[in-house]
Amino acid sequence: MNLVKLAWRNLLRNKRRTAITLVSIASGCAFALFVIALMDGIHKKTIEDAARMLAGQITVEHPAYRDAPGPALFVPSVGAMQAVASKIPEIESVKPLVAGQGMVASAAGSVGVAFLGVDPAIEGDVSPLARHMVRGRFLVPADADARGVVVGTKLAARMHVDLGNKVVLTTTDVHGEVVEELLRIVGIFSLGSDALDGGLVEMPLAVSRRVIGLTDDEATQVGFLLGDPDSEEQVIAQVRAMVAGQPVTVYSWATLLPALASWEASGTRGHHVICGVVIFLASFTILNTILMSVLERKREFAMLLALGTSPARLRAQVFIESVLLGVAGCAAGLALGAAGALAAARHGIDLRDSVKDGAAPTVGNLAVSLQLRPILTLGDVVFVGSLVLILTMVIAIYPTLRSTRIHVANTLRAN
Amino acid sequence: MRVLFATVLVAFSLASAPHALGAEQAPPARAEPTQADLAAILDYVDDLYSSRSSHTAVTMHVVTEHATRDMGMETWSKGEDRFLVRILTPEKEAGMATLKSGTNVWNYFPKINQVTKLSASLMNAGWMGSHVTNGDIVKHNRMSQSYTYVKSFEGDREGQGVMDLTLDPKPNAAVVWGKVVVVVRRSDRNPVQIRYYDESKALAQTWAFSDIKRLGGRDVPTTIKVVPANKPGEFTELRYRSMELNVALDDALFSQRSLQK
Amino acid sequence: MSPWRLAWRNLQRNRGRTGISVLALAVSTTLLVVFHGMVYGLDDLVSRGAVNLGVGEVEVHAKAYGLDQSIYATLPTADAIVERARSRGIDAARRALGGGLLSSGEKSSGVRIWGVDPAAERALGKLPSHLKAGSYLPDTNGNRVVLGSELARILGAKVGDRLALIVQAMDASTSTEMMTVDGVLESAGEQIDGTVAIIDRRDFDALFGTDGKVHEVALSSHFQLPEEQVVAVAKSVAGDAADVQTWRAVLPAVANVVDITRSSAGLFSFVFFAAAGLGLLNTMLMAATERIREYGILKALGATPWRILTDVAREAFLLGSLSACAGGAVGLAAVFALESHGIDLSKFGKLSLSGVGFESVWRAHASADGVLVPVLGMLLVTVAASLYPALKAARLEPVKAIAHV
Repeated sequence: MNLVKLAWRNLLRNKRRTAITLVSIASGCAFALFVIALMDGIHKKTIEDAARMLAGQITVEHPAYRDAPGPALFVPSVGAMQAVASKIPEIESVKPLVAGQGMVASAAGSVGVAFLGVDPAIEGDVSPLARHMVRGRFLVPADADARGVVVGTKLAARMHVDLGNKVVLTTTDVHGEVVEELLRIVGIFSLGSDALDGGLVEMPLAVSRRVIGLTDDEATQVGFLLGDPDSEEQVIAQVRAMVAGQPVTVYSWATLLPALASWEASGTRGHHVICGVVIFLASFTILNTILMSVLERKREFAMLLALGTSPARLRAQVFIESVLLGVAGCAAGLALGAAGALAAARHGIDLRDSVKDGAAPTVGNLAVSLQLRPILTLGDVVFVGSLVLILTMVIAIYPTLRSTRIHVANTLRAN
Repeated sequence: MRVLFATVLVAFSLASAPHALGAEQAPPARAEPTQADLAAILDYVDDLYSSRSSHTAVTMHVVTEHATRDMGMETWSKGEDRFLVRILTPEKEAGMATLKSGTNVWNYFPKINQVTKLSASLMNAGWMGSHVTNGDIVKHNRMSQSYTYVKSFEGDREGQGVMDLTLDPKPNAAVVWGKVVVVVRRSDRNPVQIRYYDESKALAQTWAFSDIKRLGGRDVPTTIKVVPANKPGEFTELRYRSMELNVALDDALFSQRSLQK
Repeated sequence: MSPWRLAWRNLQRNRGRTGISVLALAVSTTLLVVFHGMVYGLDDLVSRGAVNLGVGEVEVHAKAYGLDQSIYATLPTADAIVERARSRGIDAARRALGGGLLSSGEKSSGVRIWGVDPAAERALGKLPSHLKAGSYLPDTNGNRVVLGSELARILGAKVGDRLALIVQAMDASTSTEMMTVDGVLESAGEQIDGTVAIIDRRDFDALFGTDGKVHEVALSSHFQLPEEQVVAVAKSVAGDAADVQTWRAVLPAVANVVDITRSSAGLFSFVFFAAAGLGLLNTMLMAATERIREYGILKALGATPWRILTDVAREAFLLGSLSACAGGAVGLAAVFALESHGIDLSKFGKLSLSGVGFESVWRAHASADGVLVPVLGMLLVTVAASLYPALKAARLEPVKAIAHV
């Protein structure tokens, strides 16, 4: 009879024991999968938000800009970058940015800021900042003429300004000359990060270009947004190949936002380890179960051996029983965990209310996303699944070997 | 410490509209003033202390919540782009100087023999601990170009014949004020007071001009008192001790090397 | 025969099964102890980062300081606080704080200047040894400065370079000084990296004219005393005129992370217990099933249900305590090992959370409840798991039981 079918029937001989074991493994798996998916979700969302709000997952800059940022070090042709992007389907959109440092002043005071010139047509759809407006609205293309600007809540408070008020931006242009520009507040945002809420202003790309003295084809940074962030490695290689020879350098977000990168790497590792331990514990019950059943069936095994069954076949049977338990429990657990993760992903777990104002955790000046949505990937499922399988097989070794260490005659004689 | 002296140091020598050079006192207008007349008044005020070149001695008295200070300074200017101020007293700051050339500003500190260039994000820092900001030294807005203006009052006030001009910032002018009121003497167009309001029309700063004396061949107010509206008790007072206009000044005076004299 | 001895002998009847159960329980307990140790260690890592790399356990400021960090908001009771703290074995450091401009000629940057007592800082925390290059300030002043890592990069400054420091003194005059770069700090979080320049307090006084006045006192008992006690010591001197805050209030975002880590650890623990407990239930049930005939006979002989219940419970208790203690001991040993030889996280890069950097070696933290909770928990789970089969056994009908095959 088919070994697997036999194994299954053996397992079903003691339904309760099998059930308990399955439940144990399944819950361990489900838990592990859910947690991994959740942490993945938090990491990926925070990083994607950052990439979309700032300079994309892949950023193109002037080679000397990183070491000594300044308005004169810009990307000479945004058009050329857009041409590159159009040849790579994974790139969802291109966002040119003008970035700089300056001072923003009102009648009541002035504050040093970092400013970003963004394209309202693209940014409104793409940037998380657009979804965090608390007063007024985000920039629209018409703001280029109206000199609209959006500022953070802390900045507005410090300068005693509100919607409709004007502020004067002072900064240095490409020639090193100090320039001033009038701007009007059309929206106020709150990102949950003191650094950004108190020091970032965004204005239309056209306005920033005019202030700094850049043409329509020039920008401080050109960001590429990927539809699928996991394709980054391959896309960045393609981009680098395509821009070779041009006076630009291509960076990954991990270089521009190292704090975020470290956080993601260490967090992922940590959670994998913890989940590994949970799964191990859960799988350990297999040892208990199989050993018990082997001990129980000593007489039966002795009989089979006496009747000529090869020890190898007996061992195989025990091994398959263990693996079957593992597989079944794992399958159930993965299904359960996946269901949980997908349900939570649809609904979202909102922690924003449980965190007081100003106490949101930040990494590298960016607030960690508090709207939790697990992200389930095949990789996670495979990770958990294979871990269970491997652990099961390892744990099954001892009972398997033990199963045929019977003194046939003595066992049969005993009662 | 916010801008208190915006136009003061700026007015020292930065702008030089051609028709204000070698300023004379215009005869009082009898007929209703036209826009051109009003513009002329505003230009006169903007260019009160400027000319093709100038050399002045100024003292500054600063009163803030925590300290009171007096400084003596010497200034030179040439045209609109070049301006140098050197501190003479007190001893601690004697020798410190600020040079504006074009739109760049450098500061010199004799004790450490260092010249530092000003960056845009430090524009809000007070100049040498005063209420004037570095940003004010760099850029100048001409009232007649940045605002639209009307005469809002003409008559006698406190025994003087005065005229009030009310200024509204032009839509795209890079000024932080919501409204400015310029009060001038009908007799000689010398300013009596300039009041700056924020966008909600609350008073933010007041400049009072007094002590008219003959300096550099003109009758000009020699005392300027700047009072912030939101800091009771604080003010800054500038007094011109001497003024020479249209003097011969070497371009080399306005160089970084000369800063380190 | 004493019921305990009976229980012990019953356990020994089926060495195999007992052995397996002991193994399962012990392994689970060990894992849990190690897990708790590492979680507390993570807790430590983050909170120590906050405390050791700048903030101290408790910070004291004048009430007026918080709003705009004005140099005029000095703390008059600073000396008294330091004295009282030191008398209680708490390390304390005074700091004068101000703002200014640091310039390397062409490049300049606004900075936050800390005027410190180098010896006191060395006693207080790890920041003085958290250097990327050069050395921390020596005990005698001499116009030296230690820069945050990002600040050094922006200014293009290296150890030995001379930078111009320009500030506005307390009397509103402008003060200047040339400073020599003594050291560059390793990354200690965005706040310190990008804006902090540390100088000797005597040099600070000379520049700002503060004449010994300070703005902040940082206290640390190096985690020997509960935070509330340190706060109390400071408050006893400072009274209501000052703001006494624990690092949690100064860095609420970091405190949040610590809390979140703790709660998720609790959640994980629960899952572990459940997983271990389920396995045990299995074993217990099996044992009970095997001995149905035996229980039937006992009942027929007059044993009360209560007697059977307690017998089973006693066995479970013995089994549990043996295994849990064994597992706990091994776990504790592992925790000690991990405490002296932690996990190196530096390959992930410089770690920081909410603007605070932390050191990159993750060590376990041995604690009483890190061991007691798993051990007692396992014991509880064992006894609880045995109750279901115990109840079943107790309620058997003797005749049916004896006839059971």
